Amino acid sequence: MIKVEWFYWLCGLIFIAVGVLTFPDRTNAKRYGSGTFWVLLGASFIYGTYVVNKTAPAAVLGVAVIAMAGLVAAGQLGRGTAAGPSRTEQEAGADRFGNRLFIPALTIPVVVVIVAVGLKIHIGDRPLLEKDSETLIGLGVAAIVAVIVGFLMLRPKSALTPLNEGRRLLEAIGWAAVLPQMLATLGQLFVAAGVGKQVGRLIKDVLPDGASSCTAWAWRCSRSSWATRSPRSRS
Amino acid sequence: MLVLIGVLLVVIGFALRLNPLVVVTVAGIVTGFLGKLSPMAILNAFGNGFASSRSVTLFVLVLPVIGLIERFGLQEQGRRLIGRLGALTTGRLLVLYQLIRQITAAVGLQPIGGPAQMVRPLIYPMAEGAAERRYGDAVTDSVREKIKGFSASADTVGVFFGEDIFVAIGSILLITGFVDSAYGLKLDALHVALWAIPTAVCAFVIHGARLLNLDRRLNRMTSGPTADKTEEASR
Repeated sequence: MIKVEWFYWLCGLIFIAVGVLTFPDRTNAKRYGSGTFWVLLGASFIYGTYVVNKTAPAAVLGVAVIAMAGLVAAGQLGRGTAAGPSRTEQEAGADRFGNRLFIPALTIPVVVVIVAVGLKIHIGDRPLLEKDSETLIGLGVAAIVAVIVGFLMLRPKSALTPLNEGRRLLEAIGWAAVLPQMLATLGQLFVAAGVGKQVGRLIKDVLPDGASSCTAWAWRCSRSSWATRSPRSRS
Repeated sequence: MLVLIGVLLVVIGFALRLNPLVVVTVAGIVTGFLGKLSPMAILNAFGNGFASSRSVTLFVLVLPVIGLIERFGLQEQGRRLIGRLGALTTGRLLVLYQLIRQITAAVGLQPIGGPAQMVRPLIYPMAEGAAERRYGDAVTDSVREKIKGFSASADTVGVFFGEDIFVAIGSILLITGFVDSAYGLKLDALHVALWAIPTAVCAFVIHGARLLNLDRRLNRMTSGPTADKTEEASR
């Protein structure tokens, strides 16, 4: 069975690789803090597997999470100034490859659909893909297929090019890359501390009986405030 | 009632434009203490929350391939392509994307789009290309930032108000779980999903109108389409 945890590990390994590449990056004034941030994040993705399985103490991960926020608060997360692709470089690429450049990008949604919808099959009596994680697994498989397609098509000079380019984007996103996850964490903390109950009680007192549908809507609104999806795209 | 201070902290912190990651972390810690959780319980809540929310960060897997094709001119090619599709203005393109995003999310394919895999590599360059075609050199940095923001919003509004139509999503299960336990009702997840449709339609109409209005705003920001275009039209 293909498990979504495999892809969390891959994600964690990418973060760790980004961190390892950051330590020697002299163009980044905060290279030690930044490297520590990405390595911690990567390690937390792998350690998270054991937290979910309840085979490792969650508090250790809690410390790591607060440490990451601490690095950001202390202004220790910076980025390198290594140049992105220049205008001429991009124009040359567009001249050479034209609309074929869209192929790797469009591979992603196509493979997501194929995997999430088409591969929802059972082998013997076991499902091929972990239940309820089909689309996430689809995304992971799609990312791998797309990078292979892109690599074969574009033939970059170094095998490390995808990783370096991914690092450039990740550095540009910075702390915002973990903000959605942190918001989701806050949501769970609110539940543990009983914030939802308080909101419910507050509204129940304010609204007349029989207005429970309004309560549901109000709850929905209170959820949406921290269910903000993703960091804004930056470039 | 005190635990609600955590919500207030998030509001104030965001309003003061403090670093959101730090605001969220501090709000979590404060809420935990106000909810009378022990320090250990707070760390555990952070750890468990972070580990079980890793899925929202899985988009990082696509960054290597996106960075790779960007290096070879993907954004440039996006601009060139849109240059040939004269009828697609920035606003119309984004409405179209929002519709596709909403529909695909409604059938459970959230990972198809997103800031990392679609907006930055494809949608934003095309939206910007459409503006460059129309306004030429009048596309200043502030116009670019405006287009970036609206491109991301088309994605976020689309997925947020699309995914709730899909039954097997966390937020639907959260709503039914909360309402059932707090009010002793028995909500059918299918009904919650069904009644997300009117909201989704409203969201599409409201934000779609804003996106179309973006064209008018860009007209004002750039003092109208460029001269050579008006010449073409008058010929």
